[in-house]
Amino acid sequence: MSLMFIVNHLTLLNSSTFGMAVEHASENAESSGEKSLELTNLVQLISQWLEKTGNEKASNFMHLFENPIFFVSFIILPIAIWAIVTYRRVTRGADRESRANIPKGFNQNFWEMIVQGLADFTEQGLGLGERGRSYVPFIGSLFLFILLNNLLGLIPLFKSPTSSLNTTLGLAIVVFFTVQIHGIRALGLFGWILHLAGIERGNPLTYIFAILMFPLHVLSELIKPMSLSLRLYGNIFGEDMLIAAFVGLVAFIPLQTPFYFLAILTSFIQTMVFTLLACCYIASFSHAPESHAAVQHA
Amino acid sequence: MDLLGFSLPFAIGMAALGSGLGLGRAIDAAMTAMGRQPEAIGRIQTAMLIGCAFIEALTIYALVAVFVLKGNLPVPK
Repeated sequence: MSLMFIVNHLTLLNSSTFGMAVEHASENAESSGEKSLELTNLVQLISQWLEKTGNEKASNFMHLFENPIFFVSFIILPIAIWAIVTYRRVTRGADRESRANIPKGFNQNFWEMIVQGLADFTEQGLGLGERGRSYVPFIGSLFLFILLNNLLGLIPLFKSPTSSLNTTLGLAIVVFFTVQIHGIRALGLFGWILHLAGIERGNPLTYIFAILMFPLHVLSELIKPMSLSLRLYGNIFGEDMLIAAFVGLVAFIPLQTPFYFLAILTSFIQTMVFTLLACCYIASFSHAPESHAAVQHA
Repeated sequence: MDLLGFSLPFAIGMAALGSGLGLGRAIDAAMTAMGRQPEAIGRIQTAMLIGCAFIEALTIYALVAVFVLKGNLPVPK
């Protein structure tokens, strides 16, 4: 088989399937009344097949929950099961003593590398030293979840769950509640309200302005989930729409290839920004880290 | 007279202009700082990326507003 034959067939396959995919999706979208440029994905195909075989309810169910349930489960369930199985094999395996001292095998080394990276990232982001250890699972899972969801849209026939406002708003609300509950636990209920009013103990000026600062701070706390969710949603949905707009423009050339690299870059950057912002919000509700000299009291 | 069809892309253009100016200033300051202290490049880079994400988010809000409103564009006959 000559190279020209292979290249022609690949580009023909690419442009014809992708082009048809874009037309297909926009036909569906037009019939439902709004036009949004999207590539076809697996759940759309399955739900259309279900509609043709007469299963209206199942088709509606799949269409309604395509993002939160199906696409998230495609990627997050296997990865989570892999991590849990590795953990169990390391801590309860037959040779657990030798495994605990010297990590052996691909799974354990891979996950230790990932966990170490996430723990360093969290410690640097939180800036709380030892007390920040308890937040590594939350921040690390947030990082992995958002990263895998963002990158999922680059696989053909899949769609990023974070390219819909539902997923990102859910994540932002989780971060909001985590931050506020951490604030209540770290500062006490009264201390949390004083912190929201901007009052510091030693500064009498802040007591005067507390009436003004309280609504301002509360509003800013309520805006934070909105800005987090809209930032992630806009970036990932805009990127997917950009890729879909360039597909099938020119008949035999995959024009969307440079935008794939841009999409990989912006997926990484957006997860880092979301996670670092969550860390910063948690750190803003904590006391400053204690110096070494102050640790001596019981 | 159809103002929506003019104003939606115009809004994106203005938002892009604003974010271009803001990001230029932020990255200029970050580059200067990196030049002064090459050993702090990692931390400066991280802080620069967070700052850029904040500035970029304002443009993304304009984009989201366009997504919401583009259903109201008049259909050509």
